[in-house]
Amino acid sequence: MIRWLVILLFVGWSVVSQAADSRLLESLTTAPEALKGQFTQVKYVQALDARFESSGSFDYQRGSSIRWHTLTPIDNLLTLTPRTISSQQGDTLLSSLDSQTNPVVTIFSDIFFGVMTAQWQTLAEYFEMDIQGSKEHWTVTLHPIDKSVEQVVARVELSGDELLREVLLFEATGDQTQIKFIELQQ
Amino acid sequence: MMIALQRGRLVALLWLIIAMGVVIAAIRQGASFDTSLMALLPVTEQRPEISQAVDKLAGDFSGQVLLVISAAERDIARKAVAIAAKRLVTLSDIARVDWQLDDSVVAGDELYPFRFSVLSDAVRNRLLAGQGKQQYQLALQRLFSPLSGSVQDPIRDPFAFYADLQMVPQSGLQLTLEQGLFRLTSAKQPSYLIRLSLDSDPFSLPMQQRVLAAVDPLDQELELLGAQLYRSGLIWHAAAGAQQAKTEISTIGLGSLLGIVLLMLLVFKRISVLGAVLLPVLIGCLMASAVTLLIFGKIHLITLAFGAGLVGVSVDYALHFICERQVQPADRVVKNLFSGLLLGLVSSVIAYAALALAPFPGLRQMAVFSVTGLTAAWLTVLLWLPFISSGKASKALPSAALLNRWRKSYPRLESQPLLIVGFVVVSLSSLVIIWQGQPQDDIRLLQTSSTELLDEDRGVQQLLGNSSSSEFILITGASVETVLQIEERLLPALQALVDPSGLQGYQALSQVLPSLQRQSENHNLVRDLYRQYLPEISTVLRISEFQRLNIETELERGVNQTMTPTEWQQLQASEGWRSLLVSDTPGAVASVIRLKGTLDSDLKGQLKLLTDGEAGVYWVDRVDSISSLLSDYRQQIIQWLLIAYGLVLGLLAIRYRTNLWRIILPPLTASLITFAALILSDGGYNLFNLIALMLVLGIGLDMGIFLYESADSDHTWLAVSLSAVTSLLAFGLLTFSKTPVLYHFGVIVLPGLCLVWLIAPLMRRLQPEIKT
Repeated sequence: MIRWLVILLFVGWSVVSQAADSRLLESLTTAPEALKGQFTQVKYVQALDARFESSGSFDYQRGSSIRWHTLTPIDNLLTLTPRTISSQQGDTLLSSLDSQTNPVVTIFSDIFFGVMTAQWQTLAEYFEMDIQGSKEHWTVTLHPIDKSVEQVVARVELSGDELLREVLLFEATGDQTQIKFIELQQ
Repeated sequence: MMIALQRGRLVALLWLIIAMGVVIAAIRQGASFDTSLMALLPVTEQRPEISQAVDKLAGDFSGQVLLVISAAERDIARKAVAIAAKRLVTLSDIARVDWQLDDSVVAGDELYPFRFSVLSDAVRNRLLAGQGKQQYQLALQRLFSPLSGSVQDPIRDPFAFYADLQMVPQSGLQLTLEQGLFRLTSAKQPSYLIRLSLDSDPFSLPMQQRVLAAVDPLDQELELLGAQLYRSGLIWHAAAGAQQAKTEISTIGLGSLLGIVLLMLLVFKRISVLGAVLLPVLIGCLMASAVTLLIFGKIHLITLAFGAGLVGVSVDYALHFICERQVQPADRVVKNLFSGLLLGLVSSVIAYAALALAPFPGLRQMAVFSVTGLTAAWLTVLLWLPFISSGKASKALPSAALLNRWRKSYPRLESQPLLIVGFVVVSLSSLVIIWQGQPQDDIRLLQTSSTELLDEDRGVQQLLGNSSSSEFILITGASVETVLQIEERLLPALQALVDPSGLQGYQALSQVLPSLQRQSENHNLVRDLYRQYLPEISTVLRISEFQRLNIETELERGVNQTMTPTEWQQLQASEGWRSLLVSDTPGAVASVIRLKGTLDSDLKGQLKLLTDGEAGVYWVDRVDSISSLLSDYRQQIIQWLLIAYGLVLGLLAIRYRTNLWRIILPPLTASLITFAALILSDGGYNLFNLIALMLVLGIGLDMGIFLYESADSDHTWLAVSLSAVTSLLAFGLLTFSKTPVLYHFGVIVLPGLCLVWLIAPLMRRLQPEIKT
């Protein structure tokens, strides 16, 4: 979930180098009302010592919904609204979680929508940010502040130019995920 | 004469020895007080397992102090928490202060070994419905989406059961850990929780003082920062109650004591009389407590409070003696007063003893208490007062003459037909009003806290998502396994009642600790899923033959990991849930299912129906059972009042025949009018009003009897007047109390006794010549 948030946070946002604190980031970035594009993902699973590739499309409408559609090797659609997170396979609803009543889901959802509306302060509640590079090529490293978040994601590296191009996620278990974004359209 | 005196001394000494003997015996047995409302229920309705559960939940609750600090800005709220914590740490010698948690102790994956035994509801329902395919697809989705948020281990858990289990909130509380602080997730503003667990009783005054001294200044300090503090916990109610009692003792209590002292001084012009008046009441209460303790083993605080009130009638006996003593030597007084005193005692004893017929322990205790108390006080007056107030007869009291002159100017009922009509009309209309009066058996009668305090408390509990501790389902059985199995049978029906506007949810032990039977069912479901979908998932994930063997080994290892109740209790995850198991004594195991939300009577009816179907399962509604307890006692008291009136009427009719009305009318009409007025003004009546009517009856009867027996002598009139006024001062002033129980007692006694006293002179006979 955290990975997801982090990814969308940076998609489509130009980030100026040296913007080390959330307030500065806030003044420099704006979230587009809507965005869509394609992604490719490679996941390394430590337990199997194997890499799994997948790809698909995504889009979001600011403040109302986000859709993450994996097309290969399985067809799966994740939909997030301010209230629920649901997973669909074809026409079958696999699961639906209420983010209002489940505290675990609440935190994820909170950050997520905070991120979508460019609330850097909210993100700063969970991560310390380290921003390096220039406007042409920058990298932001996120370190979780709380141990409970660290159990999910140990470190996140984001990089891009005008828009976010690549996300690297490192988990405490040794698993790694690399996501690349292509064909972004506002 | 000398012989009579000596014999009197001997008897007085004997009484002293008996009294001391009884009191010493009671002290040796040890004073033991009972405050539990459950103890007031008829024996057949008491269920030890229910009271045990109630006590356990109350015990868990009583030592807890919850503070919520909130502010519009997160940083301000966090800063306020730190400031508050700094102050509260000074209490660490008397309480455990929980305000932060080191992240590193966050529960790890201690449930992971049990992933095949403890399945989340979602997973179990999926597998039960034969939708194993969905579980397989979800597992794949988790692996391929960036949203997994949990450990991915296709060898040990290819179908991601553990990820589902992690999604189940592991605490019933709406709390989350935010950078080491406990944040309330359902609050609108950033809000944090601080919890104090007191080492000792929240009713202890030194404890209250320490906690209040630490917390109260925080209100202002946090206000300056822009943060607010909200409280919850028994200690705040206990402290407010103690404060109120203190205030009322120093106003109402002191007022009534001062009033009585002043009155005695004014009438008798010496202070020693006060001792003579109070001694019999004191001995009466002492003996009453001792005998009640000896008979019942312990004494209920309600018995003590109201019993002492009823024994207060005995102030009459002493006053009659003292007033008469003013004009006659002691031995003559005893002789003259004896028949009146005896009748007064017998009528009161009959009235109060009828209480013992009721099947309620509280009323039985009260009967024993008041009968013993009255008899002891009566004996004390007859046996001791002659020696205490020895010496010559003093002169007649000027106040007696004054009071008598006023009485003489009063009309007599017999000679005033209009007055008779008025009496009949007022009494009849009172009867009509009473007939239509509605009883109020509300639990609020027993509450002493202010609405603000109750609201604040409720607000904190709601934010926290705490379930009610007064309404719950109790499950009893021979073993933990039995209890868990019963719960598992019950939960689907309970789940069907869940609705956002009513029952918002529940917390049951079996949600986190499945029965062994259920765990073995789960193992079978898991095995079936592996059999069906492991080949498919292996293909998609390109799992090698060797890895597949590992998967099978992990499955075997996992299904052998059953979670026993003992193991579960040692897990960190069980912390918020252990209290649901109220008793794990083999043979008498009990658990509670706690309910969240507002339960209306309709829903309560459904819950009752649900529990009635299972043996050993009870729907416990404390508020309701206390209300019905009050209602049962109220009905008993009404019956008893009628019986008492009947018995007393019968007894007095033998002696007074056609003059009976002179004695019975003052208490009867005063009671009717007062009661009707109360119903008109308060909209209803309750148990405590009725107990107060008993006091009015007791004092009213005494007044009539004495006046008749002494042929309306002026010193008797003084004595009964004084007795009415002292009772007014002692009990009538309770009208001004903010404690509901006391108020409801006083609100009847005050007008009731005034009316008795005003009506009594109307009943006097015409011939005042019958003289001693």
